[in-house]
Amino acid sequence: MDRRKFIKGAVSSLAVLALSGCDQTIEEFLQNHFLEMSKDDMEAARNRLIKQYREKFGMDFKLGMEPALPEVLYSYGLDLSRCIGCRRCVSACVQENNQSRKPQIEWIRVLRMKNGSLDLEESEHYYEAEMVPKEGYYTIPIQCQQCENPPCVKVCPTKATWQEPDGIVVVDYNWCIGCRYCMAACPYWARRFNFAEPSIPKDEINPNIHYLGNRPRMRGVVEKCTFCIQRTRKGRYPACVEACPVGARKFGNILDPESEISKVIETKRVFRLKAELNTQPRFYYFFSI
Amino acid sequence: MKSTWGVIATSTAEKEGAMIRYPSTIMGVFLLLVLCIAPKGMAETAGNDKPDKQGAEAAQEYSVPPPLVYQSLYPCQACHRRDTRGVSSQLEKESGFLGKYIRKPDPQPRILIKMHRNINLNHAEWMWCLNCHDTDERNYLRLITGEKISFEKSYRLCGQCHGSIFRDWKIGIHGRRVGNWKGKKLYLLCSHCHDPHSPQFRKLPAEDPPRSPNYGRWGVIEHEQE
Repeated sequence: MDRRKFIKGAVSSLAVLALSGCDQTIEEFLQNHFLEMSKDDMEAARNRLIKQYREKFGMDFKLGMEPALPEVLYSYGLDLSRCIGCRRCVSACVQENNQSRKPQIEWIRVLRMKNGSLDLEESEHYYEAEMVPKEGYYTIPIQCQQCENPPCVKVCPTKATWQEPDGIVVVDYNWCIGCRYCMAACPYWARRFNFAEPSIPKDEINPNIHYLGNRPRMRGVVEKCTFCIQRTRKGRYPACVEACPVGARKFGNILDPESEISKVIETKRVFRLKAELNTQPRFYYFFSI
Repeated sequence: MKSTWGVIATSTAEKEGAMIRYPSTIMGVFLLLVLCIAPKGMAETAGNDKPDKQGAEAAQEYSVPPPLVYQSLYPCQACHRRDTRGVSSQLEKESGFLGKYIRKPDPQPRILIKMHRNINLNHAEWMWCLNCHDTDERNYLRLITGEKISFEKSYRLCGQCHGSIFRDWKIGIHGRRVGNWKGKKLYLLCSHCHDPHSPQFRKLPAEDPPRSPNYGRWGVIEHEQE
């Protein structure tokens, strides 16, 4: 046996050994980074995922890979003088984005704050499910702020998370190695980690998915709000906007001067959370009264 | 509109001195100006024939989901109507103007004891039914100007008093919209969220809090419970 053959054999048997330890297929293991995929690679990845999900969940998924729309920069507004803290947005988000029910993962966190204070350290997000709004308190829902200058992207060692041209910060779950540096870097506590294999009841699965958004995740990857990329890239409102019973959530294209979010910024008092960190969130909180 | 023509008038007057020296150039420029501005100006005049803001507001269409009343009591004129049985002419029948009321409307503000007792009227002290509902044609609402509007356009009625909220609603800051941020969207009416008879927003039960990560630390380990 010559040297070349030996190395070849050793490498391939090591690869087999490495793969046999986890439930990854060889195609999945060799899959390219999303931004470097060719058309054929994308098609192959789509077919592989649809097949894999059919085996796992017994239904056909519609997997989108739509790129960002031209001339669009998303922004989000949240009216703090209307929000009552009912958590309807949280459950709509969980349903829409196939978040794990057990262990529980929720991308939106609703903080209850004492009136007159903006100290996040004193906030409470495990408050009881009672009648809201409660006197003496106001609520701030927090989710990914889709920063223009995102610290989570800077720290990722594998470039598994990046900012899309329309402003959404996305994750390629196949490239995430689960180091959780991004979770440590995020000042808004917006990223979630799949510590265990996520589980979703089959009848609650949303089969309209996007590669960079709500496709079912695996154990050991980080996930976060994507402004419902599977809906917004088709022109629809995010699920939380439609679910809010008081109409506190506003969404639109900030490059369009007639959009709701442009009007909010033009006519209301807005602020961005932890503005002093220079993360430049695309998420604006405002007061309409 | 007037100002546009005014500007042209003054500019031509100023240019008259120069015109003697460079007649053809100046005339060319003037003609060009007139050609550019005149069609636009004329279009504006045509638009200005409509009364004013009020007219523009009436013409503005917002696509709204069906008002909630359409699922319950509507059409109101199933009960609140005139009896046309004794009327001979078809025209009179259709106009519904002749004939006796099945129940004659009583314009006197009072507490209703026989009908609509489930309506809890708690909307400004002085308000009562006929401030908003049309006396003769109950399928319609009535603006303060006397104009009849359908329930789909009830935002105009509410906007008469709640002007700043109406302004915010029109540009999408107040209220809810569903559908597409880009393309067709539905504007929820005021009455989809606020009961028009008692408009203050009611308290809602909040949904369950997230599970505390404390399990495992004080002996309650989740997977052992199963």
